[in-house]
Amino acid sequence: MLGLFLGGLYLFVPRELYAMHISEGILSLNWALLWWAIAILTLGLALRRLNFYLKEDPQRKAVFAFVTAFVFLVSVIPIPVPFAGTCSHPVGVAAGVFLLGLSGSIVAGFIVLLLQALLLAHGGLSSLGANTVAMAVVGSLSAYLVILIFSRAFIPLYMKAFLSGVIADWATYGVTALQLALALSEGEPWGSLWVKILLAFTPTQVPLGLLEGVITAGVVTAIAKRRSNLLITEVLKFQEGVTK
Amino acid sequence: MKKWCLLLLLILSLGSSAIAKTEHSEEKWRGFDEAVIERIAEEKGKKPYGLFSLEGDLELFAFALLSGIAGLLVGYYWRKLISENRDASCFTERTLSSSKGS
Repeated sequence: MLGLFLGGLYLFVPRELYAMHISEGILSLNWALLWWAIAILTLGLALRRLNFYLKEDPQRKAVFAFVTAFVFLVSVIPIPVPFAGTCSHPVGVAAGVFLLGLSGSIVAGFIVLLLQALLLAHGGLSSLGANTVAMAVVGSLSAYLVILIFSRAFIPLYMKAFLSGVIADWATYGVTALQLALALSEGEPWGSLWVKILLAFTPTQVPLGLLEGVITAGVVTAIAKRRSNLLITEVLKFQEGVTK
Repeated sequence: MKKWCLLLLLILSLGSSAIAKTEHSEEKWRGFDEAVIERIAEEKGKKPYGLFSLEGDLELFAFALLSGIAGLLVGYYWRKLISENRDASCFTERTLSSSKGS
């Protein structure tokens, strides 16, 4: 039902279909290799952890499939932002963190980015490492940190999910801006270029991050009300009684 | 909560669609990558390109097809995980202990 609805939602968006990833030709070989190295290292650790996790509880494979499809769907919908006059998309990994933890969300994010590069020419293969670090790794890590920071705080689950979604989105685009600044700052201080790119990102990404928070809160709350045991332990540990 | 989320999504989609239709021009509603990232890259002498190009409505077809498949998968697993295994007892000792293994 939700999938059909989201699929139908796609029909309403305008026809300029672009995703927000760094494409081929922007990063120099050195930077592309560096981001690939970081991505491979992180993916190796995440895959090892996820493999252990799925062997321990094979039923989680369905959760992994759900999260991967969800992140793919959310991150190909270009949402028009009236303030900026451009379209951009949420990242969706924060909801993945609530269901699969850090490792599962990182792997799901990488699979999504790989499929988008190969099937839709969005992003690229040389820039896949950079996009993986920004969206899958930093997006998931920031959402996970928000969960940990607020794990002992007795604030409602929807608020934790909202904050995770917002921070994951903003952190992803903050790191994308940093990657661009580092790669393109030839003769210019990278710090000032980073600020310049962040300012260019702001009109689109600030409202979009808030929307991502709402989406994350909606999905996480809907799941918590129906099958709370699908959420990771870090979320549940201090949650008893809060959303009753 | 679910109804509010669905309503919000519907309003956003219809609202943005209406705005896009009334204010649409060649320069408006471009993708963020094209409008911001690629412009910055081009200013710095880089020429972004795609792995391959999907011309005309082929791009729309590819996005619609893959989004549709992803939507169906989300719906299928939602039903499998949530609707067919509904657990009304939120945050009980049982759910806490069963999730500790994960």
